[in-house]
Amino acid sequence: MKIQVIAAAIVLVTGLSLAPRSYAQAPTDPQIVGIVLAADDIDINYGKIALSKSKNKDVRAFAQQMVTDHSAVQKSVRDLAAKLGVTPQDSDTSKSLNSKAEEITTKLNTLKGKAFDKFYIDNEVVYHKQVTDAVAAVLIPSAQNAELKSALEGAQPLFLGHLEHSQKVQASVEKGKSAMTAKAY
Amino acid sequence: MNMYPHNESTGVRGLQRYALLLPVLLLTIALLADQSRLAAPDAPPASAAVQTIEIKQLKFLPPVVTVHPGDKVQWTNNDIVPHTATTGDKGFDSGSIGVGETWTLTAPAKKGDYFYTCTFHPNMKAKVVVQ
Repeated sequence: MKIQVIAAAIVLVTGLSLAPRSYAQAPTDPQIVGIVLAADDIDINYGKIALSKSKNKDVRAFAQQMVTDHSAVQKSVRDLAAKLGVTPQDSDTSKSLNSKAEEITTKLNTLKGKAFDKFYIDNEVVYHKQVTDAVAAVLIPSAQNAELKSALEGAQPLFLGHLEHSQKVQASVEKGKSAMTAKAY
Repeated sequence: MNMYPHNESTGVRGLQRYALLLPVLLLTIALLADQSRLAAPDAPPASAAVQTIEIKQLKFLPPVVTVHPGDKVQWTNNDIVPHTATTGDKGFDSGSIGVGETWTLTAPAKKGDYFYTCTFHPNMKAKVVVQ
């Protein structure tokens, strides 16, 4: 319950929303590529901040994974865009993402210790929820190019995996002890 | 005038055909013999098998495989990010399997269920049964 309240509060405070309603019209393929690259970039930067500030083992492992995975996604999206001759384009959505990310980044830079871990991982849960919702409801249906659509469909399980992973780390941070070192089964 | 021009001609052509086929036949025999000779020293025991597992979209496919001790289990990463196939304390650890790479395990002698995960993505879970 507490987690949901915190998550809801972050959404309200940050106004960070990739929700379908924020799109006045369906994004074009160049805009979709621009949105995905921006979203990846933002999470890579959050991860780098966490790696430089957090001492929590689970938080650090998760942050490192976000840096690694989102860098890989960025590369594959850039490669695909180059192959398709699509030039990434800014949109109101990518600009909005970037401006909200600045607020989050400022907040992350001011926090320390457990307060930092908590804010970072709570934001990651909310962020990945919004990203996966937007990919399913807006980006995949809007993509015109079949390869781009397929790439988004292929990346979605990764983002959903990140969401699940972030929720586990969130639970461990809440409890104040590592849940990730337990046996996988 | 030849009474059987057709038959005689066919006989000659038939010989010619056999003459042409003979080297092909010999080559085939030689290749088969060579192949069996090459395969023999390194071939796994008759009971050994290779079980392949594909890693794709954050899943091990199939999630459960059953093998015998000494069998080979091969993981191929067809996802867009690196993964591992890692058990707990005792078992196996592939280390990072890069995109497009394959890692091969020789199934351990000790029978049992080997639950494994990807250390990078702990929500990925699967099992190798050695029996």
